[in-house]
Amino acid sequence: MKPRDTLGQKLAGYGISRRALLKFAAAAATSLALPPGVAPAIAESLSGARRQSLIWLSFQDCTGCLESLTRSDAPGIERLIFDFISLDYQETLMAAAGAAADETLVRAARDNHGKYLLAIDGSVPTAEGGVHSMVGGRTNMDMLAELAEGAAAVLAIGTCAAYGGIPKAAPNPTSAVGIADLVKEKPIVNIPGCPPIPEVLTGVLVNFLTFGRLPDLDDLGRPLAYFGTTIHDQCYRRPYYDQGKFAHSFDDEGARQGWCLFELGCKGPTTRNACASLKWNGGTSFPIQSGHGCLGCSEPDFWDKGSFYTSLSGGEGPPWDAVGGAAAVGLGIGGAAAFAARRSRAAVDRQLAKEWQRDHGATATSKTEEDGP
Amino acid sequence: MTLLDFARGPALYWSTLIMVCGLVWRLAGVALLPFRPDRSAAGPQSRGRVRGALGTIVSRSLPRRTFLARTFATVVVGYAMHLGLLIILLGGAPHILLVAQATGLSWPSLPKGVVALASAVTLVTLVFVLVRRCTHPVLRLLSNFDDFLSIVLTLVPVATGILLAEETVLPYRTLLTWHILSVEAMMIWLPFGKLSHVVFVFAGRAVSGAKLGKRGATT
Amino acid sequence: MDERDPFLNALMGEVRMLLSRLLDDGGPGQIDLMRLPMPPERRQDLQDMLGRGEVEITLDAAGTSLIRETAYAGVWWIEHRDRGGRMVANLIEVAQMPAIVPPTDEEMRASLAALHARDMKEAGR
Repeated sequence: MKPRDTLGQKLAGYGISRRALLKFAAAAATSLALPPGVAPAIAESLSGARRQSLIWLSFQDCTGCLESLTRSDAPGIERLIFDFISLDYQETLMAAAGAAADETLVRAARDNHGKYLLAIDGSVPTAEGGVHSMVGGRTNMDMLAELAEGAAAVLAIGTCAAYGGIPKAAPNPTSAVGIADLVKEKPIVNIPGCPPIPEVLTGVLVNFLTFGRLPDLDDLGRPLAYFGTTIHDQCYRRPYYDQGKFAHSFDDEGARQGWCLFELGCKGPTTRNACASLKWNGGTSFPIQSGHGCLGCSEPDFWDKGSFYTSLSGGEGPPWDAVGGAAAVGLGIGGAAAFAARRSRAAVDRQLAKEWQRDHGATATSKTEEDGP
Repeated sequence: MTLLDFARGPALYWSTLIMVCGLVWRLAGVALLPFRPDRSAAGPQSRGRVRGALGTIVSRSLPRRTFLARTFATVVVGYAMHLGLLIILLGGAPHILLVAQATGLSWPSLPKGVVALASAVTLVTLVFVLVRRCTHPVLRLLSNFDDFLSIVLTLVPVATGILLAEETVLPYRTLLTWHILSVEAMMIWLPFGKLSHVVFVFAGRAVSGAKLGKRGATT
Repeated sequence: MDERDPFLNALMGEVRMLLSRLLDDGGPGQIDLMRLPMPPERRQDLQDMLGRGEVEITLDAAGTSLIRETAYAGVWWIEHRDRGGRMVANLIEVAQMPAIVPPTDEEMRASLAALHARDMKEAGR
């Protein structure tokens, strides 16, 4: 790696012109919700920036995040960003293996100490000292602690790295946690999603290259520019929700008409992500547009929030045997109360009968209940 | 676990169980009490027990002409609030969905606008009822904590439900959370306070109606 | 959509303000249309309102972009597309000429050097 290279020189070498860079900067400004006037400034600082070193670790993951970020059929302008960074270590993508790969990691971390970005996909298992996921004989916990120490910032890519994701799903056998549960001293940005949207990673990187810091984050550590609104609020089917037009099943008239999928379990109202505006596969579509409700994959613990097909206003239904049990308990308490009332009343009746008999002697043989005191 | 998960999970579970247990308890406690046999002779104008019971359920639900001028507002407000609640509960699409997903029973929903109107009327009447109870000297003297709590616990779900349906003021997630939690608070209180009139109101009228009907008393 | 769409009227008001600022030498200005609630019909209405001028430029850099003068001189409609043909930015730029179009001095000096080298090469032949 030649750290002296500025991106401007490098891009010129690739035949990427100033105008292409300006155009990219305009797109980046739009994507980051920055005023369009800053586009020239973004282009300026990008062309003057040095290539940013990026170390990417894969922990308890399925590699779906990496697939999402590297496999884009239509190579969009955002793919340019991968010319702006130096991906110094990524086990799946790099050619080196074994000891050579380990050496690369050590060298990259040493040469760029304090300056590199640390990207992580996958959660970190903490049970039994973290032995459930190891690379080259070292636990993920160990590697994270060491490499986070020398990083400028940490990117938690995908829901597993951000919040623990599927490995953390109940009963969480490996005691998996997200990055932010272990790394406390460094700025962290969460880019959740299962998988995350490639453009969001691009936007975060552009922000870092341009302004030297992570973008503004929400209370769950996600960039506000992309996670500031719910899917529901950006959804093109929203007018149907407002009109009360819902699909009741996946093959009814409402589904064919493209009505709101709320009743079929869409989690759009409680999910923050940019799917509905940025979309997937080069802006082709997103789940709701393809006829399926949002799973809420960019929210913590989305896997443990009941069925994907249970609506937000509904539930799984009460546990009927527990309800029956509660009714039985109620019957018991009520019955006992009534029984106690009967007993005390019977005692009163006996007492009254005794007094009546005492007062009126043995002449009377019957008593009327109706005219008790 | 977020607050919403809590509201939709354990809170819903336990409030349902407490409500069911409490209602059965209260009903059984009353139903299993010793009934004194009614040995009185049927009066000359006896309508019989059944007719008396049914008649009283209806007649006690209608305003008395004698007092109509004085009670008109109370009657209208009472009816508006209860009908509004009925429309919201049985006509609102999300509520039907809740029942449908829990039990499989489903029926067509009312248009959102109708439910919104009913909610607005209900909210206004509930606020009116609360304010009146706080300001009217006699009512205030008659009221205890139970009365105020019962009104507030009915009012809050309606208010949060309106905001939720319109999706204003606060984020959807927050509104949904507080709507569910407030309903659960109401469910927990329901069997034990004056809200228990949902199961006792007609039963009480029927019992006294049966007694008076047999004797032929004019009620 | 209604001709008197209040949203579009507000947008046109901003265009007017930017143009007046440009004439007072307040520099060029832009409006990012992709971050505004712009369903296709409203976007079309806006395009109709702005009309078409005489100049239209196609920019071929990492995908094709359209730069078109509107009926209002100094107000430009810009659509940036990536190599896949997907729109990545949609702007209204209020300027004498959109900043992306004219070459910089540095680029022209590089061209001059290239031409000079070519002449030298030809002369040496």
